[in-house]
Amino acid sequence: MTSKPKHLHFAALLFFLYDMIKNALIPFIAGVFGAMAGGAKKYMFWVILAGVLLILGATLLKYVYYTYQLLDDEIVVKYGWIVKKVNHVPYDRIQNVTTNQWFFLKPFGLEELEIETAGRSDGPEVKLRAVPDSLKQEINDLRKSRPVEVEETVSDIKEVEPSSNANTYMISWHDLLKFSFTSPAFLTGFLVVLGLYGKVSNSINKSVYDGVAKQASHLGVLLIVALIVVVLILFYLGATLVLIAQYYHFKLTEENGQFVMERGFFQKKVTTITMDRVQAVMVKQTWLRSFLHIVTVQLVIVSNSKKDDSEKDIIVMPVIVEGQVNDFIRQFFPKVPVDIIESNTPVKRTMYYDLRNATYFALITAAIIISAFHSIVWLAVVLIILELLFWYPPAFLRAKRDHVQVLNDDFLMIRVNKILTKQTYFVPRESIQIIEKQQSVWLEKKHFAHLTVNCRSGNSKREIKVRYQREEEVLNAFDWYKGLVPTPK
Amino acid sequence: MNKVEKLPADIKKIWRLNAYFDFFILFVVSAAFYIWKILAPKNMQPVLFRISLIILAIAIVIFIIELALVQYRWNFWTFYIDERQVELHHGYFFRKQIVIPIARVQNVTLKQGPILRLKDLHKVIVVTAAGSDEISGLKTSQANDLKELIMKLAKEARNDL
Repeated sequence: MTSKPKHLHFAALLFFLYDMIKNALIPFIAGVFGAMAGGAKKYMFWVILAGVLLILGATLLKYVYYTYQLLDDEIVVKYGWIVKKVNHVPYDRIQNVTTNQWFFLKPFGLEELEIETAGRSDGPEVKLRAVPDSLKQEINDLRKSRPVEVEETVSDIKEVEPSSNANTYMISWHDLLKFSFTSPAFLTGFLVVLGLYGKVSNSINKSVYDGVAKQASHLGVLLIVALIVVVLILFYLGATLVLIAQYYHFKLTEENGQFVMERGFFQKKVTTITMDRVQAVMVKQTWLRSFLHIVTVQLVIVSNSKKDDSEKDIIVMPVIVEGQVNDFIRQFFPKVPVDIIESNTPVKRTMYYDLRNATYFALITAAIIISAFHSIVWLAVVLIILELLFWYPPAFLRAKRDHVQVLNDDFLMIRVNKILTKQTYFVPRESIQIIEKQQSVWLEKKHFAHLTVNCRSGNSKREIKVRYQREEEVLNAFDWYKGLVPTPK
Repeated sequence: MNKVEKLPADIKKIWRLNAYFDFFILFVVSAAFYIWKILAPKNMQPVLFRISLIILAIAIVIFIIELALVQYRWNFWTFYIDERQVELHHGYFFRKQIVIPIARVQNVTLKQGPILRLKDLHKVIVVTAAGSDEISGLKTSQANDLKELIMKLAKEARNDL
């Protein structure tokens, strides 16, 4: 089954135009202002006209030269009119396929299709801005019809009863609200705005600033505090609404080792990934959610995302009650032996080491604070309380949570603490790239050690590190990885 | 290559050379500040002189530490390669043991700068899909053998990402 090179749908022109305008806007405005400052006002009309024509022309050319072609074993994308580029992506190198459908394209049956491989490029290897929504199925069929991997032939046999063994999960409104309202995402947004504010306030004329500050002092401290609270609440609500729109109608389907995640209100996003491309399964619990006993389940995958560690993971389960997470994993990841997980009691000596280290850092920070602010006593006291809160709770949680356990021949469980968030990884042996044991002479005497496991995540690596663990547990994991120990159970 | 090996003894000379080199760079920076001090107006001179002295002191301390640690580093820097994995061991007081299965190796890079070329050594970088680790110097023939071995084994034990 081979097709001819095809153009994108005309709607792609809109996206190209949008991209082009976005990129050209700043140089364009700069050009106009430059011309104005140069006193060339009479040519202004022509300058703007030339700019507009340039943008329209470039968009049209980009569209005309952008084609894709489905071959028997690869997809070929050709683009570019000055520098021509041809991108060949073999089907068996595909890691994940994502489609994004804006609500206004739905009536036309169009969507954006992205294909990612394990290559380390900046974005998806293939990005088709507007194609018929049947294309994804076509590509998936082509992927399946090439049984290059053993796993895939196995799944072909299973296909005798296709829809009956499909696992699905659909988010309820209640869960969606729970997920959105407990997300710490608004904090990052708030910090970004604070940073911007800092930059702006630097550039604002100082006299203006002083004037505003004087007025503000008339308003009284209470009002300012109220204002800050209102802004925070607005941010919180805004971020929550964004999350609700993003995870609206979240649906997870598992069929023959293939996961399909659907979500989104304004833009419907569908991600497809095969189970054997998943690098690890992670159960994540942020601090706020730990009070509500709810967790999130994510997949660590290979993609071209450069985002933060946990942001580039694919969420397969936005929110689930802690007690049901094992059932969920059993249902969707039958290979992960969640039943063997032993509940562990924190080791006293681990607690000692972590709290001791926290004390070192706390003392150093306190010394710096005191040397800098000793003249303003109340400020120094506040800062010291804050820094104690910064160092001790994470150290305490780390000591409590860090743990490593070999589950069976194929899976390792590592639980780590990131500041206040608990992350439990189930890592298949094949996806561990490097394993590392660290131990100082002093730790050796006490039979303790650190363990680091490296996995691929996004387009870089993820280091999962547990510290101050019992040596026997670390060695067990180490030997398990090296293949020296057959099975613990 | 089925035994725990140390790096070639020549690598110590390279490390010492590197230490001299680092010292030289910091010394030049310090000297630059000193020259600036001579040319600068009177009120700036004490500050510049102090900066120059501090950089010099740091340079000397780093130099001494680097030289002192060369023997230690070499003594406790070993590697072991068999048909299953590459193992690297560093340090005595702070021990690190790294295991990279050959099946996970994506590529092996040999690197040789001008200093390593003097002693006919190569830096060997073993790259996986998640990060890389390096053996800081091997005789050229040994590095090539190693590269051949790893690539041969990697081909046999191909495991797809």
